[in-house]
Amino acid sequence: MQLDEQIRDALAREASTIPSAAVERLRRIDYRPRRRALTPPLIAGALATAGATAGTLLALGGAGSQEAFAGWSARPTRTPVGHASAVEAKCAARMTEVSRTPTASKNGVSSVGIGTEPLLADTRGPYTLVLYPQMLCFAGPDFVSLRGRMPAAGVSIGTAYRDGGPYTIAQGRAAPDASAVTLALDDGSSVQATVGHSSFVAWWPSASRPTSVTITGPSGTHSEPLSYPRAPTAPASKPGQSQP
Amino acid sequence: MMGRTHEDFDRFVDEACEPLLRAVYLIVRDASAAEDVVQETLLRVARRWPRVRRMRRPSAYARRIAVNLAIDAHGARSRERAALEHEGIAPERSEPAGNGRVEQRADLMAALSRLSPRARAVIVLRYYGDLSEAQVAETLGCSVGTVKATTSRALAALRKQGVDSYATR
Repeated sequence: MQLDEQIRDALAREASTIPSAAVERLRRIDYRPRRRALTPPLIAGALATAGATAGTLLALGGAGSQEAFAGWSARPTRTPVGHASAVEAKCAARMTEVSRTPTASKNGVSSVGIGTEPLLADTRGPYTLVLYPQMLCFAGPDFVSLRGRMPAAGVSIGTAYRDGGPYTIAQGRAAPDASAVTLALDDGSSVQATVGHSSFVAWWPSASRPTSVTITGPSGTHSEPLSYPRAPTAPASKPGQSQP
Repeated sequence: MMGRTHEDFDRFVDEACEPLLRAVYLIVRDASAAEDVVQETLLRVARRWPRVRRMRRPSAYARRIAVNLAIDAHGARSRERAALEHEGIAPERSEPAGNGRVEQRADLMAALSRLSPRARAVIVLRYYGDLSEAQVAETLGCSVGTVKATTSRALAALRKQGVDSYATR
């Protein structure tokens, strides 16, 4: 087999390993910009099923996030996963809803997430982020959204928009005996993560980037710098529209 | 975004997701990172959809965004991995199953992974996307000459790593 053919064959086969469920997750996201016609508290309810998640490179969106995520705290309320039944029920219902989309069974999405036990639940005020083996579920008083679990290597971040304001989820792997993880953000603040099951998760209501991670374990506390790609220019809001 | 425009965009997303995701995955080599890149791509397309939908090939516009984000994302991920590997935040690496054909593919993919993200993008676009040199140049915002040179160097690097020895196995 010639090198050209080998490359084509290898790439085609490797590309085919991407699960159909990942494609389906992307199709289910609502990417469209929204109109800013409601007051922030009302938008929180109106966008209950938006499920908008974004990539890692979105820009800081301004003051809307703090209003949209009122009650957020930099330190999580550690919630025993088994007792977060209301949130988990919301997440399970959302997974079931996604699995029933017309193309779900064709793409094998029905098996994703449903019936799996959550690994961690990170609660801050009225918002809870639940980490499943293959998914993340983010739920608030009036919304629940799913996204694929982010890369396990290092500290992965993903920034999404709700109410036109950004929030960022961070996820990473930690040593089994790690007891605390804190992320320092480029706005000067810090966020304490929820740690367990060799993983940690945290989120904050802005597109600020972590600049370092501090991990505490039996051998002490260690910090490492982090760097992420430069954020692009914030999307320009046209009159009457919010960012996606 | 209303009515027909809205429907056009939904149709575009439905059609574009899979080819974008698979191509980006081949560049970033991480399924979740690839999802993030495609999400960001589609968000950017959505913001400009009224203009993008009038383009001759909206998919080419989306591909250009996705590939360039993928190149950036791969570089960032490599830096993160290097910084954190010794801190107990270990990367998960998948290992190929152990039959000859899979091993060959794994070796070739490993060799491709050692190329620069930009060179790998060229290879992916040429050999997976079946794009012409001119289309690759347009996607990456470079000249056709640069694409030819990059392809040539990448293939030479693969040969140097023994990839073409599979032909005689």
